[in-house]
Amino acid sequence: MTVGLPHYLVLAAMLFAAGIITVLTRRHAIGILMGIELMLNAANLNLVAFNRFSAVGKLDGQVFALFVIVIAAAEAAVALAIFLNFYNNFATVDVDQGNELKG
Amino acid sequence: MTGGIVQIPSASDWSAIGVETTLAATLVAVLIVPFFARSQRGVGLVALVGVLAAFGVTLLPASVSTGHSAFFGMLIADPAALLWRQVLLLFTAGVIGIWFGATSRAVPVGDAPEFMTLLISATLGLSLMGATSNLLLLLLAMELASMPSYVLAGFRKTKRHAAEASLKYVLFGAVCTAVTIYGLSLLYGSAGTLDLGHWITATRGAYTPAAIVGVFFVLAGLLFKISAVPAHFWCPDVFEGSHVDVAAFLSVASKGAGLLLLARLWDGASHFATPMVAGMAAVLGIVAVVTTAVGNLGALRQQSVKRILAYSSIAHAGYLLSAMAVLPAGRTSLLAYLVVYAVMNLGAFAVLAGVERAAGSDDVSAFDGLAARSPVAAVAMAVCLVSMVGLPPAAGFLVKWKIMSTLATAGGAWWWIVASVAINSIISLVYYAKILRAMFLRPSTVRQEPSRLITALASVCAVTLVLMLIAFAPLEQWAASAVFWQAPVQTP
Repeated sequence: MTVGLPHYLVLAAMLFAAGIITVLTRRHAIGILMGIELMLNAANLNLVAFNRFSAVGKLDGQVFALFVIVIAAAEAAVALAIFLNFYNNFATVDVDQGNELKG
Repeated sequence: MTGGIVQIPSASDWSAIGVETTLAATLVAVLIVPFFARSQRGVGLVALVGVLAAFGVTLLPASVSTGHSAFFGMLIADPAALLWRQVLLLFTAGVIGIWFGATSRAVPVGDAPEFMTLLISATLGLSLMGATSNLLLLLLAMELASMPSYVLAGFRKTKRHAAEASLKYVLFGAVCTAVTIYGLSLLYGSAGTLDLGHWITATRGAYTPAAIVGVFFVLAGLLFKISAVPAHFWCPDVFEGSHVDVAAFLSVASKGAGLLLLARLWDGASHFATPMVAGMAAVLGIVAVVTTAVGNLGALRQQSVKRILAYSSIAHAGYLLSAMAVLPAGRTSLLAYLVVYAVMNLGAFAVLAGVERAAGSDDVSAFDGLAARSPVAAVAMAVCLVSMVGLPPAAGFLVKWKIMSTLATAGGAWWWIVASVAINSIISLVYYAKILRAMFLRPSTVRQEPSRLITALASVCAVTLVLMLIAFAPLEQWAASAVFWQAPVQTP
């Protein structure tokens, strides 16, 4: 059996679903961030697979994937700094404890 | 791009990013100046001069373009992008004015450079968002705007509310971004191009299932920036937790950039009369109606003016999206509403910042007797609020009427959106009247009045609103001339 575009797309969709489930079920901020990374990697897999199978000879998808990796790193840096600040104020990174703003 | 040949950007390419270059230079200046001047206000002044210089660049003849693509199709220079930049830069200058008048007295010494760096880099990203239809640059611009915004929301580091607000904002934003990127990958795959202009002309309004999923996932990211249902949850909490100037910035700048980007993409797609395009228009209409209702009903039970204005900004996102449903016919009313919305929100948030600074609270009760303390600020606030309801003597009346008349004459059954705009305007009167009653009918409980700068800024906004009502034709012409340029169809 040869591995074609659908195989990659299904794998990416499963990764994306796993990421969404992680985001929705975790209450720990860093756990949610891990779920987000899974979703981003699903997109990367899509981009690279599409580039390999349906846009041969161009590099758009590959370059896009590189940018997504950089964005993920930058976002993790900003998010971790904000988690640390939350921890300084609440002594926890459980997102359910952030419940003082409502109305 | 042709393979193998190195292309050199031309002069017209550079003129397309004049504003961004000026803002980037300002960014560097804001970081260097603190080494020489230790004053907070000096840094603010440098940022203000930089933003105004960037606005000056938009007035140069070289910035005016009837429409061309720059940097090998990455950027678009057209009248709509220019209008957005002008509105954004004047608005950002106003936000820095609020910072001068209220917040700069509350932040610790030494924090001004960080604040201005974040504010200006967010402005840079938002300015780019209005000038691209390339999937990669679109994503980078959105992220350049989002990441500084997450930090700005939590800028009051020691406050529990700020920490909570920025946590909610960054998690919600990062999830929406991840969904958007997945959607972008599907859009890329469905036509093999990163240019959405080409994508739209290649698909001709008939989308594959993968493309439909992609469109909806990208829409989710844009709705987050616009703070429309179902991605509006962050808005009230972030507004309450952050400084008033940051809330003001997010309410107009972030929303406007999202709207302009959505309008640019949707304007291209809506030219094809297929069932799928009609379905998309219906989806946008439903989102608009629900967003308006959620914003107005949510505002009814609020006591904090910050939260009232947050919900009111959700409601206004709904009004703006109503016009979006009938693009390309709704473009003029959409852009005119955006301009008026920027002015009235700036005025309202300026007075709120002054009152919060003077009274130490953003409760409705902090506005008690403002008319006796500072009649000018109270009248200016009243004009802005009346404009938000959509009543004369302010320009909000005409732009809202324009949206309704556009919807009514656009063809197709849009009466339900017209009804939603009308009913919601009446509902909104209830909570705006709460602030008006506090200002004019209640006795004053605090002594301090808003600073003179804040009063002046709010009065300028109020006078502008009245002037725009009297001289509506030039505003309408300006909005009508701001067309979206589409790249000519390329045969591969």
